[in-house]
Amino acid sequence: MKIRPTSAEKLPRTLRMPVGRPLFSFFAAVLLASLHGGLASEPFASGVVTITKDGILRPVPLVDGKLPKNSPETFYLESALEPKPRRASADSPSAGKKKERPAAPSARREAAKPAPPSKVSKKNPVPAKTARELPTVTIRRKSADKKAPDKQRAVRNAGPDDDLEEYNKAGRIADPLEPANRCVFWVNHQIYSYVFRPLSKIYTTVLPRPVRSAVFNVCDNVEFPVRFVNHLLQLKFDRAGLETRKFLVNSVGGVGGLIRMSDRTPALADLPPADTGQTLSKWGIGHGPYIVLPVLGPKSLRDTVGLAGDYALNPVTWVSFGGIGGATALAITSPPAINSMSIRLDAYDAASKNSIDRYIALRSAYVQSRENAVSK
Amino acid sequence: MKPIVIILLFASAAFLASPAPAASPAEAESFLKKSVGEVVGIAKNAPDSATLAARLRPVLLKCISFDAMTRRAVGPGWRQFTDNQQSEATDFFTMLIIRTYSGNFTPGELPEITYKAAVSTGPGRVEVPTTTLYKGSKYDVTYRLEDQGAKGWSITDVVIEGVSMIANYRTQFDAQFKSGGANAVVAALKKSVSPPR
Repeated sequence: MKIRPTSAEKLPRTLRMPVGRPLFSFFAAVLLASLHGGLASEPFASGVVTITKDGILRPVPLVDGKLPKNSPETFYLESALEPKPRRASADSPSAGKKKERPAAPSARREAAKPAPPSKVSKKNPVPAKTARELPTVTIRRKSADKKAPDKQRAVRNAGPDDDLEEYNKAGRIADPLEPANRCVFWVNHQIYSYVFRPLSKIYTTVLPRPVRSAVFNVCDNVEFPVRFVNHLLQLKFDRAGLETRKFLVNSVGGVGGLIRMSDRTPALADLPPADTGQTLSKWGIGHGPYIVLPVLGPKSLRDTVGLAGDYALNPVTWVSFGGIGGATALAITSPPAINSMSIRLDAYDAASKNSIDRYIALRSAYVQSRENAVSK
Repeated sequence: MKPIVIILLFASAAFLASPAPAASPAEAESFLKKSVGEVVGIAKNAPDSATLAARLRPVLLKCISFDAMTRRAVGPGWRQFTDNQQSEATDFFTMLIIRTYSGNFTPGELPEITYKAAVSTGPGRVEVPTTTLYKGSKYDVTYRLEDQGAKGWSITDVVIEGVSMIANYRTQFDAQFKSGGANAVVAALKKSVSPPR
């Protein structure tokens, strides 16, 4: 008796299934398919595709779990390709609404011409799909993501935008004389670098820190009238009283101001200084324009006027103009001048070091520092 | 159910429903003290400035919010930066701040820092004023800190004698941005962090 072959035997040998065990064969097929990444629901389960000339994504079969070697094609990660909506064609309804840029004259002439009849066959009213109309794809650069991951960037931009406006007004001053100021600033920089800095270095090398501190203390003590008068002019009578106490304590207990005995009394330790520029500010006078004075450096117009007041109130100036001999005047005025120069250089270095624009850095630091002094 | 059990249940429910306690200025102050303590410890043992800067870097990266600092130093122009420019600017500015901060220390010389009471300046924002005695001079240094959520507290600005580090850079970046946009800011930053020729 001749047995008719079953349907399974008609199939090619590779696809032949054991007929008697359909359930097992189904599971085996699913398992094999999933191992090869060939499940119908996941067309590019290997995650790697190539793009044909027509712009069609074609999955790349893996060979033993690896990409085929020596292939002339370029492989893309499927996850890196995202569909991009095609630019609306000229005759689409939305195209008329969009007017991005004024067209070139030649293009305008073309647009004025009647549009050619569209190539739509009578049988099929839907235009035939051409290769050009296939969806285009964009390749996301993974390297850029690696450097600044989206997540990281999201964190970076996470703050409210209000914080960008926070420092809008800090350190600002009108600077109509900027070109001239920059010239003076440059000259000052040369003087600081080639004259004052070497002098300051000698001063700090020759005099140990305790001696320098003593010089600073004496100078500070001598300038008492500047602070006292300005406290009074600012109607801060309690501070004027404390300033007087401080002067007496340092002059008597601190041997003419060499030692700051006042630092041992909490009420006298941190008395804010006062100068004529601050007083003018308290009286409601604004900064005025920014000026860079030769040698003296950054000032506002208000503080330049204030500086004249401070000189007038400083006893060192009284002695200098008091008819004493040149050598004596030099001996009296030099220590405070060198001391002040040393401090000024420290402040200059602190503000200008690691700056992007030294001139602006100094200007901003000056304005902020003065506003801080006035607010105390 | 006994009344005491019902009361306890309500009490526990109310406790669970209440929001988490807001971050306090005291927390910010203790965070700052810990961070500054680490910095001072490194400054004490560093043999030279280069080593000091290298050792300070990981500590500063941990306690300073360089992202917030860069954003604010650039200002509203930050919105016009591309992602790549923002990333570059942040990297360069981080280098610059670390260099500036570590440059303020001389290895072996330790500052004496006196902490004053921390002041809350807004939700999640605290200022900690300090007086720093360094190399014989006294400076008022104020640290501005912000609660960054899961990250905890971070320093967002340092104000020395009334001069804010961020405000100072802001005026400089504004001029750069006006002259050449984001590219000019990034180029200026790159130039400032590159070694002098």
